[in-house]
Amino acid sequence: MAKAQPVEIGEIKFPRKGDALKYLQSMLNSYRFEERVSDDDQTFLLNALNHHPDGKEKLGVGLDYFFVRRADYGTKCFWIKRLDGSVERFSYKHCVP
Amino acid sequence: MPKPVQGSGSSSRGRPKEWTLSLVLEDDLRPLGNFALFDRPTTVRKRMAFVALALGRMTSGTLVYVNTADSAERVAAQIYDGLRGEEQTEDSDLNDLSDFCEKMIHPKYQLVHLVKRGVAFHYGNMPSILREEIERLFTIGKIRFLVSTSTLIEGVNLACRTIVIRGPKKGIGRDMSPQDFWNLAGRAGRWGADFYGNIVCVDVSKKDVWPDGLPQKTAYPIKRETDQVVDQFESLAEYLAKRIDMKTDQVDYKLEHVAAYLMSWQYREGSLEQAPPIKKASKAVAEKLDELIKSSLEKIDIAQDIVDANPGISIVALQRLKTYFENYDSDPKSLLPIPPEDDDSVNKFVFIFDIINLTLAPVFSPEVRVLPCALTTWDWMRGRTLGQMIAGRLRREREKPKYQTDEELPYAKLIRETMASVEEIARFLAPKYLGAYLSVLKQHFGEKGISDQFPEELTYDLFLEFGVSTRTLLSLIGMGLSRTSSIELSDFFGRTDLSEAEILERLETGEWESLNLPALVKREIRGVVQRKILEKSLTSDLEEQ
Repeated sequence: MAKAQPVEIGEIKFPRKGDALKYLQSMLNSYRFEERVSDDDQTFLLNALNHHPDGKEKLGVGLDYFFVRRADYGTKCFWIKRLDGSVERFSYKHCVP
Repeated sequence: MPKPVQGSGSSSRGRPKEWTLSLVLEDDLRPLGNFALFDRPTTVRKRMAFVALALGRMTSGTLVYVNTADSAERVAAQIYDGLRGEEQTEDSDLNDLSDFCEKMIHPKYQLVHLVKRGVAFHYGNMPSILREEIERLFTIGKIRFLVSTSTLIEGVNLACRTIVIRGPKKGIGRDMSPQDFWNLAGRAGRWGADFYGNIVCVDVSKKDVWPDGLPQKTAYPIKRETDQVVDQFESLAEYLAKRIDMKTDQVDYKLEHVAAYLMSWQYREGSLEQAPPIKKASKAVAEKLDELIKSSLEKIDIAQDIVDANPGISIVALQRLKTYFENYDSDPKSLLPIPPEDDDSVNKFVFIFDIINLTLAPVFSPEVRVLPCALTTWDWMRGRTLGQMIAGRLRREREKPKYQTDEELPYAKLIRETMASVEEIARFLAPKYLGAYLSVLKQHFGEKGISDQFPEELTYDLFLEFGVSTRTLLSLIGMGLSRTSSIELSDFFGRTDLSEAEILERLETGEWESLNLPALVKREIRGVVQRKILEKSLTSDLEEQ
């Protein structure tokens, strides 16, 4: 069996991919719907978004802030508020290489 | 002056069916005699049911007091079983009530069969038309056994001959105070001509059931909750200092109540000096609190009338909602609710409830409950009947894989839960918090100079309060009909914008009598029409003079 690959997002090193996912999930759950993401978490999320296959398109004209809102079927999701006022959601699960 | 006699029942050792009834004197139990239960009381609930049966079989007016709605239904079912063969099939009142429950609530609602033997239960979340009819039939003796929860302390006034009670609690987990016990006990013996009433306390010698013995009849001092908390000055001061930065789920309910009260007092009056709970505290305490609150109030610009109209909601919370609106940079119109006939209405309620949870208070929580709460509110507002809502809930439950057959569905529990969510969510929390939400939103629209975009006809608070969304239904309720009857009747009117006068014109013809409506509903309509006609003739007499 292949050895677990460590993952690095921003300044944080995770021993396994699962640990990074867990970290992002608990970050998501620490927010309530319609709440804005704090500055510290924003820095981390921006780094994470770099790993998202569509990260560039998702960010578009640039980030104003992240926030938490419902997505399909009422699930919790990170959203991007862009500088031009438009919004876009992204899955944290696609942010871990 | 009627005087309750306090008796106590307890079983004899080794002979569980044989019980002794004793009279409670100062510190003593004086045995009055023995009575037999018709079966072994193997559970606590059976004990209550069998004692009630043994003592109340020959009379009417037996009230059994239990601690939860679930117990009320079960004890009533056991009493019903003990009355096998005693169906009152000829009584039209009982048959009408049974028919009403079957058609308007659910065919599997237990009252459908219970009332036929003169047994009923009673709890807070029942629709008012049903609860009032049960109270009426109990008072005239047609319902002989009534099993009730603590709703009877909270405002329902009901006389009875015998109360059976055991280790009373108020709600779940809280022991009943001696004041509440005597308030309840005072109902015994107000039964028509009966002078004496009996209070039968079951298992009175068991310490775990009656931890402080029988409640004594002495005067108990009443202390205002706000006074108690001001006494705990340290914790209140600490709380006030942190309050402005608190998230809604960190709020301490006991302190919040007092903090909210003091903050809105100071916001209105400019100082705490005259606030009743503060007047009794020392000057140093008053000044310290004053100062702490002053700094929290600095950034607040909520209109005074909104603060006054929402006494249960902290001014800090209202401000947080306003700040949310100010930072919201999509189209402000997307913050408005959508009328219930629109398909997107539920999703909009979900969105608004999320904002309320974030800013005002986490009332629709945990988060997974936001959608069910929004559905209940939506159903209620678009005028679904309780029966339709119960049927919907049962259908949704039935789709879950854990239930293989219809019989596995916990009907009693699901029916009760639907009733509770209507009372607690749709009729209480949603109007209260949506009302606050809309008034803050209106202020925000005003400050942005877009007041013209705030719909004038937005009477959601009214719609929610009464659970209807048309003028016709509001008129019917305004005439004095219950929501249940209003919805049934409105189905026969083509128009949704009828005024009270237009409705009365239609009802005066008597044509509605031939409609297919439950008898209980017809009786209510008849009463309202008679009263309205009388009012009209009295008014015109006055005008002629």
